[in-house]
Amino acid sequence: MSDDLDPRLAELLRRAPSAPMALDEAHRQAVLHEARQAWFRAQGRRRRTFLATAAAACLAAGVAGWSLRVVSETPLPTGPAMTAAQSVPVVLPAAAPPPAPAGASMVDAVGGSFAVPEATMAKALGSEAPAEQERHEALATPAANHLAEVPLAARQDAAPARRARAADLATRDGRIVLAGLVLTAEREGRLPPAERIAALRAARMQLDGLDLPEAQAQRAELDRLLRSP
Amino acid sequence: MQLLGRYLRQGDEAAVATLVDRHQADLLRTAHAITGEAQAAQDAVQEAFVRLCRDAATLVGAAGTRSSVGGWLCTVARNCALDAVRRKRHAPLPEQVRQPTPPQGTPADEAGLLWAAVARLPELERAAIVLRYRDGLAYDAIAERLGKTSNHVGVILNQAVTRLRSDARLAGISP
Repeated sequence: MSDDLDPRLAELLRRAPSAPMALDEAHRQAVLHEARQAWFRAQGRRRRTFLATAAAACLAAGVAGWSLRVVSETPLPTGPAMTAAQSVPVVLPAAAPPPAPAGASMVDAVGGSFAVPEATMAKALGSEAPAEQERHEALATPAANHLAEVPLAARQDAAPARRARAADLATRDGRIVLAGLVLTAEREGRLPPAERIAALRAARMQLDGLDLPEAQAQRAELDRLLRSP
Repeated sequence: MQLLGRYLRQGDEAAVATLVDRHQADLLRTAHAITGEAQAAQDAVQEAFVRLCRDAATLVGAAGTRSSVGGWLCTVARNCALDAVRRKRHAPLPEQVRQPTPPQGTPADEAGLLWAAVARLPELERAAIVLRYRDGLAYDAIAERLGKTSNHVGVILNQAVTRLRSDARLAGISP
């Protein structure tokens, strides 16, 4: 393999016109102009890419949040039996009050009239158990039952005045029952002498402000017993 | 590659101008050897620099695998020049060849006949002949500009010289 050209031919080729050594001004300016435009286009692409990425991230976060909300707020799937059970009004059992410590009562929160007198009456009656039992019975009066039979949703939506009235009815009946218990014990002579006057006064205080005929009769009897020695 | 990164980050045109100044001579020589026309060579080199600006991000991103801007530019300029030649199938070598100015002491028809024979060579052979005998480049340099191996350049040159000898003999050019 030989590429040695004849000297004369090589000399002729060596004298060939040379190539340009630099771009002319028009081509050079065209290159710089295109460089400027390409840079701005690249900047725009980067900006659009950034914005698209940010928008996609926001969208993903929004979808995730929406999904969590839907999942958390969707009720559990219910069958026909469950649906039927939900349509039955909720009947709450009569609230069993906690054992009341001496000198305090849960009814204070409603009526504000049971306190020391209740404990005094119970002690005079010999045991707290009958008093508690009677009070439970008193709370299970038609008014209280009416309150308990109200469906839960209706009870939650009831006006505060209605709830206060129902509580007042229950308290009123309970006070009459308690006074009746004291009077019964007095008639049967079961009140200890040392506790008798205090129990009668406590029972009398329970009837203050009640204008029912039964309460008036009990009040009159208690007044008579308190006046007599 | 640092200049390209500066252009990419800051839009620095001075970096591009520096790249043009640094590589334009080699690129023009190669493109001119292939096309044989100064204007076509200028267009090919301009296109190479324009593509460099457009693909700067890709080049800088792939800097670890390909760090030679000059090699990339040479490849693009060569391909642009070859495309131009293929678009103008009958493009002759240097424009002066069409109406060659005979060197002093040389009959005008001899130079014209020789350059006409060079113009008829295939693109790669013509480019190899010009780069070898006009610019005096070594095989390695020619191989780098044409994207071939040195051995391949030797084969190309041998084929080109054989054709030229034959044409010169037929044309009656005295050796």
